[in-house]
Amino acid sequence: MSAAMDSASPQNGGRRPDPSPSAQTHRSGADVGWGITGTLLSGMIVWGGAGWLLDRWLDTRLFVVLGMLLGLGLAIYLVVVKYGRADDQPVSISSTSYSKISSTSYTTYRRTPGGRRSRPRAQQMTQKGHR
Amino acid sequence: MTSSASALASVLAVESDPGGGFVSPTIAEFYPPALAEFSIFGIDFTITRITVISWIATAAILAFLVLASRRMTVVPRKSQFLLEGSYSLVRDNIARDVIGPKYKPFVPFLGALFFFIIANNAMSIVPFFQISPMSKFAYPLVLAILVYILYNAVAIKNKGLGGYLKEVAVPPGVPIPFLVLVTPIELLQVFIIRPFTLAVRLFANLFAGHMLLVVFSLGTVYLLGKIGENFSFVFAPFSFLMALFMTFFEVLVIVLQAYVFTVLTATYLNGAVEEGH
Repeated sequence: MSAAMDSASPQNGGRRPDPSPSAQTHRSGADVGWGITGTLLSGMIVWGGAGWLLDRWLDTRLFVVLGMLLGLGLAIYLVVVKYGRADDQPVSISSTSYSKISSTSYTTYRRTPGGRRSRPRAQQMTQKGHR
Repeated sequence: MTSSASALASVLAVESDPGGGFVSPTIAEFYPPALAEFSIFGIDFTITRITVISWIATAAILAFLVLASRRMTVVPRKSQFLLEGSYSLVRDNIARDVIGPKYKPFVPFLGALFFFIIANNAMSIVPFFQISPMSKFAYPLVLAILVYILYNAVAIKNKGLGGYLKEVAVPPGVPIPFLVLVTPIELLQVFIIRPFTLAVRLFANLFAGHMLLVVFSLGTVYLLGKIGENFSFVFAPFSFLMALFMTFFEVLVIVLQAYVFTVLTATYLNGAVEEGH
C-alpha cells in the first residue's frame, strides 16, 4: 500500500496531505460508467490485438484468445483500482465537513481533502451516472 | 393504394417491392441525394438535405437565442424564461457543479455545445425535416474532436505534457511491474476510446431513433395500403401508435443526449483543470 502510494502520487506535498492514493478518480459520476466500459473494451483491444499480432507472426490461433482474457482481467483489475476504492474507505473528516457547510455548493465538496469522495457526493454522482 | 396514400408514400420515400411486400428502410435513409456538389481546393463538398437541415437548425437556435436575450426583463417572458432556464442548467448544473471553481471560462463553450446539439437533435422530430444531422456520424465526430482538442489542450496547459501523460498512464495504486501491462490499456482508453464513445453515444441514439420512427411510419403507410388483408386494420393503428409513442420517446432522447454530451465534456474539462495530485 505504501509502496503503491509512493510510486503513484509523488506530488503529495502540495497544499494538503493526500489521504487517498486514488486521488485521480476524483471525477464526476457521468464518466464512471463509460470509463468502466471503455477500460474493459480497451483491455481486450490492446492485449487481444497484441495476441492477434503474435498469432499472425507465429501462425497460431491461440494468443488472440489468451490476450483478450489477459486484457479483460487487467481491465477488471484496473476498474477495481480506479473506481472501486472510494467506497472501501470509511467516511471520515470529509463527510462531516461536507455536511457542516452546505449541501449544494460546489465549493463544499471541492474542499474535501485531496479530492476524496465523501458519501453524499458519491450518491449524487451515481444519480448523474445513470443518465 | 389510394392516391393520398401513394402521395404520402412518395413523400416518405417508400420504395416499392415488386412482390408487394414491405420494404424495410435501409442505411440509404441517411444518404439523401445531393442538392449541390462542388469542390474547393480538391476537397469535395456535397450539400444534401441533411446539410440544409443543420443550417436551419443552427439558424433557428441562433435566432431564438438572440431574440430571447434581447429586451431582458426582470419578470421574464416565456422565451426569456426558457432561455434562462436552459442557460442556467448549463452554467450551474453542468459547468459549475461538474467542473468546479474554475468553471467560468468554459461556460460559453458548453452553452454553445448544448444549444447546438439540442437544436440539431430536435430536427429528428420537427415535421418535414424529420432527420437529425446528429444521426450522421460526421456531426458528433466533429463535436467530439473539438471537445477532445479543448480538454487535452487545457490539461497540457495546466499540468504540462509530462504531468498530464503521467496522470493518464500511471493509475494510482498500481504496482510498478503491472504498469507495463496496464499503461497501454489506459492510454488507449483515454486518448482513443473516450472521444470515440463520446461521439458514438450521440450518433447512435439519434440514428436508432430515426430508424425506429422510419420503420413505424413506413409500416403504417404500408399497412394502410393493405387494409382489409391479413388483419391490417389491427396492425396499422398499432404501428401508427408506436410511431407516435416513439416520437415522444425521441423528445426524451433529444434533450437527454444533448445534456449527456455536455455533462461528459464538463467532466473531461474537470479532469483537465484539476490540480495535480
